[in-house]
Amino acid sequence: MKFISSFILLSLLAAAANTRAASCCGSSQAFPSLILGDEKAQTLLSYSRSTITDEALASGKWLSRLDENQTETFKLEAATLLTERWQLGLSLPLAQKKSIEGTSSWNRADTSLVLADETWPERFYSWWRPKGVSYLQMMVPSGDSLYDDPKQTFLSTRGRGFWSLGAGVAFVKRYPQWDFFANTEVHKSWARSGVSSTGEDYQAEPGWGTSQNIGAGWSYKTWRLGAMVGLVYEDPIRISGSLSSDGTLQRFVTVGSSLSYMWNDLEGVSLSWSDQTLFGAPVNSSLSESWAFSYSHRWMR
Amino acid sequence: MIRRLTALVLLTIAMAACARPDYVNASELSPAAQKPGGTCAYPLDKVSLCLEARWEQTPDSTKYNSMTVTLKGDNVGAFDEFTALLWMPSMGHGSSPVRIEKIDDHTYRIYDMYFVMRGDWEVRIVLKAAGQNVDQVFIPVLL
Repeated sequence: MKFISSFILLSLLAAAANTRAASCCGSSQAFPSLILGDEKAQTLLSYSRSTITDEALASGKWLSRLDENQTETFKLEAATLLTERWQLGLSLPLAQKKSIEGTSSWNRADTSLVLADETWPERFYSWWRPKGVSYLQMMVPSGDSLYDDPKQTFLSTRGRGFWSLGAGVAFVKRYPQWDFFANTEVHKSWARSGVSSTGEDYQAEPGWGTSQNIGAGWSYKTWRLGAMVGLVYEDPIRISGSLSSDGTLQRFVTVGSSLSYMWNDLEGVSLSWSDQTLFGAPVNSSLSESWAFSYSHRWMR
Repeated sequence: MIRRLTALVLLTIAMAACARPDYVNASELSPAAQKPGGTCAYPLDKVSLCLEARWEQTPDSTKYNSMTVTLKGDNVGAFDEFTALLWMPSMGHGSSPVRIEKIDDHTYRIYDMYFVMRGDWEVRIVLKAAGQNVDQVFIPVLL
């Protein structure tokens, strides 16, 4: 069972590394860095490589991306218990972008902070009742975005550009060989000002968003094979002021799978893959295929 | 073990089998040149002008692009500043500043047009007088 909780951690966080890319230049709400097992602290270091293969337009039609783009991300995630119930999590990504125009330097992408409560602990055995954690998550727009400077390009933008605060719940149910997880969250992103390329000020108002993930895994000895599917929705970004546009909602579905290996109770690695072109009816989104490799270390209670 | 592995793989495939991409036809993309028709494609009614735009090449998100804009009509004195920017209304963001060269009172060349990604864009042309907008036109671009 210890292995399985670690596997779920690896799977969730590795999947999270892959499920974020969505809009042209930054990511929407990240999957939270949460302790879902019996750990008192955990860290995860991941490397992911993502390529935008297609653009889904506002009309629902698709365009193939032709610029040989690639985004590489190193991400350090950590979570620690504050009390028996409360925990704090942090995600610090560094990203580098490539396209036929060149290669950017490594720089910060958007940072995520999580405060979580083990609202539904697993104190007694139940064949059906999952363990549940509720959380608040703040996205800090620490990465450069198109709203910070109109001279930004695909290569230089690494962030979405908006502060956002979300609330969600994550559930995990473990059996000797099988495990299941579900996560649902709602977030609000705050309006901000921007400067157009002609030097005029405008207001960008993003609105509400939500993401839902479900997944399952099967474990054999020290290995685990997992699959997940996740839906992301974002309200249109409305622009007012010297410029105006109503925007279009953004929606896409990510499917992914992962293979994890733990060589002891405390350490493990995971290889995961995800794709946003395979399922659902995406709208107004940049659709990626991603690979990620991650290493986790945890400290038991 | 094999049965469970197969079930997991089938579950993943089942979840992944539903997307039906409808790709944009090449004929729907913005052309290299827009031929002036009988009616004005981009009227600027407030200043009684008609704008014609001609791409110098097929717009491409991997290159810098340029277009020539012709203002037809006599009232070119109604504005003293010609501005242009690239805007993606669906996602609510713009792109790098463009550069503008005035060829004559009726003709402007917009160049260094860099589209940060593929998709449905607008070239937003705004005519100003004494710093105030007097008329504007949005030229749709699908690239």
